[in-house]
Amino acid sequence: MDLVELLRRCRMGDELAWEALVRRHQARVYAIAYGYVGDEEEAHDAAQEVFVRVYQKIHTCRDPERFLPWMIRIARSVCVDHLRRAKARPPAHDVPVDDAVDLASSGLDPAEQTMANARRRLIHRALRKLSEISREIIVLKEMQGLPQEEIASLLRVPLGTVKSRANRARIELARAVVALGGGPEHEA
Amino acid sequence: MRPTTSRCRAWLDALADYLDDDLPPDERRRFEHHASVCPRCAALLATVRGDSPHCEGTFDVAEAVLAHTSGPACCVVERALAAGDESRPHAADPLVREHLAHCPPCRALEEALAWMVPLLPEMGEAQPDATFTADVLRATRACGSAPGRSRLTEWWKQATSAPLFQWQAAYVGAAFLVVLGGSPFTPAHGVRGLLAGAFARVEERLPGADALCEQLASRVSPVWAATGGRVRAPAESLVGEIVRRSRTAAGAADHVWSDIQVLTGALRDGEYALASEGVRLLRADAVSLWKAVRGGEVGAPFTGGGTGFEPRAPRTNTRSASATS
Repeated sequence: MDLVELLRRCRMGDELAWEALVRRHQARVYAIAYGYVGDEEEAHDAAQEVFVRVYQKIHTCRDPERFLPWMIRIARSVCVDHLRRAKARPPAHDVPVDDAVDLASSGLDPAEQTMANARRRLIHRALRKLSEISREIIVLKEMQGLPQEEIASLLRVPLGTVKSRANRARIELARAVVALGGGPEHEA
Repeated sequence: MRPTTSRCRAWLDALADYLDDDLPPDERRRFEHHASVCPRCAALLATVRGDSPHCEGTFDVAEAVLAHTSGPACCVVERALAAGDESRPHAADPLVREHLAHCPPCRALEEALAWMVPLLPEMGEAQPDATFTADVLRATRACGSAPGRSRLTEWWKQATSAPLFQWQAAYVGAAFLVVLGGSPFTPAHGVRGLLAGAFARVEERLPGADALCEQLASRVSPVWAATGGRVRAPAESLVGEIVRRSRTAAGAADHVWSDIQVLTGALRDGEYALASEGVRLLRADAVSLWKAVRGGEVGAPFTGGGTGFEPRAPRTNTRSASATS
């Protein structure tokens, strides 16, 4: 079933359609939440809240082509709220990047899969070292593939700022990865 | 590393002339003095002369020179690396390649970007744990609102669930009533005044009406008793007949009383013609009174005895009652 029909049936209150919609997009929403909050449990809660908001506001999304950016916008809003609440309360423990997160596999052999998972964990640890705007640009542009115009609208910054910050964020991430041991020595 | 002072720049400008031994003696002394007090320039001079322990291979002359001039071009290479996508156009630039060959930090960045950039889009999805879908469905089912519900419905639902909704509704209702009927500046205020006046007038007459009703009830109750309450319509007709006769008899009695006074005055004044007329009127009015009491004139309006007397308004209930009795 295509997204148009799925959204139409969701708006009519079809629970099966809603379940299918959740299953189709939960990996993306969870990845966004994990990229923002960097903790498996927090990401679980944030992603769940994202879907609750999508459920409550789905009648406002009339254009199926705009559904994905619309959902990412909601996800970003929820994650930023989560981060603010996390800052407001005293941290019970250092925020770890959970090694147990089940990252999407790409059909590689076990050795390559292990290497890819190690690199993904390294990138997530490096994301924690970045500034907020750099982390958002990495998550939204590099991971989710949003166009720069969409990101500028989402972050409420000029398009030129997004363009300049995009390259800088990529270099900052590479520096952080190298600093965490992701350089040539890590590869060896 | 960058030159820290302008003297280092001037010293570096004079380096070639110093090596060619073309400097004047005083400038040469200044050049050698600066090399004696500035360790960076001293190291560079030793390297250039070939008497430095680093010149065996570990010390990079270019690095030392760049430290004194423009600084290393790493930032330029970083921009080139960051701008490059999977196609990596910077790889085709020989100058970038040359820099990377001699700059380990930039090379490490390039290698990190090489495996990181293609991996980032794959990280756009990550499977949550197995319970995630069930948790989401449970949460959306518990939140109560169905998808597709109108915005107005959602607003009403949220508004009515607010803790202060009852107070807010009471406030709005009170304000509505004040605006509609309580404010002296609204047209409805005049209506309210008229109604209040009407009620006041009714209340003023209410005691008299109550007395009349009591008297009527006292008259009517025997009639009710006589009929046993079974024939309501004839009883009410009978009550109406009593009221009409009372009024007619009261009017006739007034005329008789007037005729008596006219007759008395005429006899006292010796006007016998007028007294004779008064006797005739008195007789006629007495007959009318008799007929009114006995029911002879039922249904016909009382017109007096033809002497110019107009019918009068019914008298009080006391007179009516006495006339009826």
